[in-house]
Amino acid sequence: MFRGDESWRPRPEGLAPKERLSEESMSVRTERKQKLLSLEEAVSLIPSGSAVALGGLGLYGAPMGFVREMIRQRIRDLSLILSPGASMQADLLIGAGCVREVQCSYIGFEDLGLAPNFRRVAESGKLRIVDSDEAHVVFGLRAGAAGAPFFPLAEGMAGFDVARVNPNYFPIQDPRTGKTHLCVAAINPDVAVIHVGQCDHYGNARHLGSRFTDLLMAKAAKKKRIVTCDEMIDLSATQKEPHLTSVPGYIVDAVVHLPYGCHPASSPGLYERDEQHLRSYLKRSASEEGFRQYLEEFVLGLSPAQYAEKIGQERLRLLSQRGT
Amino acid sequence: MGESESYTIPELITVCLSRHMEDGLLAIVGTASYEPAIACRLAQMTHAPNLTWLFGGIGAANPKLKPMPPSTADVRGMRGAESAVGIDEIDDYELAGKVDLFFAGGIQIDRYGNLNLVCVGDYDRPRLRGPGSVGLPFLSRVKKIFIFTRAHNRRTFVEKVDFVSGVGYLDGPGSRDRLGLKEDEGPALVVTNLAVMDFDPGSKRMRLKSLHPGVSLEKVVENTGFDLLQTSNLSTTPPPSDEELRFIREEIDTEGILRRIA
Repeated sequence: MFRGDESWRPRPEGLAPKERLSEESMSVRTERKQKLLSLEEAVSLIPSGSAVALGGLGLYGAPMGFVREMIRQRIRDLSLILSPGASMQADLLIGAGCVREVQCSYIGFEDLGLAPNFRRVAESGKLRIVDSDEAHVVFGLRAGAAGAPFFPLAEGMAGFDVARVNPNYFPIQDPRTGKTHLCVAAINPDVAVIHVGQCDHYGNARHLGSRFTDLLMAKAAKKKRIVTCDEMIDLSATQKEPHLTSVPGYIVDAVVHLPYGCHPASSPGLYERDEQHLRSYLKRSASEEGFRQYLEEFVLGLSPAQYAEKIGQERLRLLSQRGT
Repeated sequence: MGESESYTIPELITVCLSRHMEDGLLAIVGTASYEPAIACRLAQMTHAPNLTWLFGGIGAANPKLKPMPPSTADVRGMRGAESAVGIDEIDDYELAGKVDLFFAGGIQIDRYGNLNLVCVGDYDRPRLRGPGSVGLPFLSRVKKIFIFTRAHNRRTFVEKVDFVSGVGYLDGPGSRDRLGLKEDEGPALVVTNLAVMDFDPGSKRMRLKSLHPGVSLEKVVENTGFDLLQTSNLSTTPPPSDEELRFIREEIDTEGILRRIA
């Protein structure tokens, strides 16, 4: 039942009850495998051509640090699966030429404007766009998470063009009533990448805000589920308040400790979005040349630590103060 | 109204939305929707204490806003809320038809209140690629839609949308019925930077209701890409009252987003 969570194994004989659940006591007889990987190792789990789901919603909880490493490792031909709202996590990968196909419910910067690279590549016809929406993403992922082939939508979901242009929408007849229902096909990415505020070494993850579609993505992923986090916590902290675990470790394959891993997006509960940086990104990305320069300056050849240094500790502290 | 010059257009749009909200509804606010979120909170303070509203992205119910965060996905929107659920749970309520009121906009809006967030021009080779439909497909499951935009011009208000992200009255009377949707549900109100409009119950066409202070009928006609129906008793939109402005500025939008985006 709790596959991967070794604390539910038969108790070792002769230990005091209070020690039985602690990590240290388990290592007396057995050694539990930790899931912590370096950023490079975790990204290298993703072959080119994969269908990758990126978590977060818009500029909140977006796994930006992971995305930057994907660009550095030159992963190509990705099929991107996004939450109902996506932003720079998609725009950056699309601009850097990593994406073959994107399933788009919303790619934009909300109040800050449209997504410049997505627009440019879309309008040039070089990107395959499968127009999607919130109903397709959420109920498709829900079917995928449950191992079901599709999700039949309520009666009265009708008349909108996404259902016409997206082949994952199809009608089906209920054999009991004869009524026709619009369905969405299950979404099952190869890999799900999500970012949380805190996670322990065994993949038990805590969202410090909303979990958005992150849990659904992790459940629906077929091959790998990767969590990046701002802060590592001890298993003992997880065990004190297991109800705060929003993505259970037994469905997680790899954990990457990545402080400020959402910047310039926000990590809910820890730091707010960096509006100044985002506006500068949008301005520079208005031209392809400007975007290339941005990549050179902030993505290519820069480790996460060097990136944080470049943004500046003072600025990051300020974003943290205002983000909670 | 000595203060009447000192409100901004987003503040005026907010009070127009608020005044049209009935008490007791379940309303939902989605992406990039400052005015509707603040309008819901304002309506609770002025006349609709039993309105329940959901901040879509983070799934918060009845948050206090104070201040209004920059996005509905911002965790600070949970401040003072009564519950906060995942977006998948919010979508259950939308799909199940439990939501009374939905606020929506578009890069194109047509005379029947259909909305487009996907493309301008040919779908396969668009002149402008929009951000995408997000939650608009749920519009057919919602009783009432309030449309809002700060861009009342001929690019936005078009004869017919190039892509139907969310349904209004489609091609006019009878269209909704043919799809199994209720004829008397759908777009109910349109609030822009120039005017307030509703829909004629018979023809389902958009109809001018009131002009914002200082806006001429000619200006609205010039900036609308289709023939707007006009009522005989065309009025001027009442400007925000002192009380409405005080609630907005001192109790909700304390960081002044509605003043900044004007």
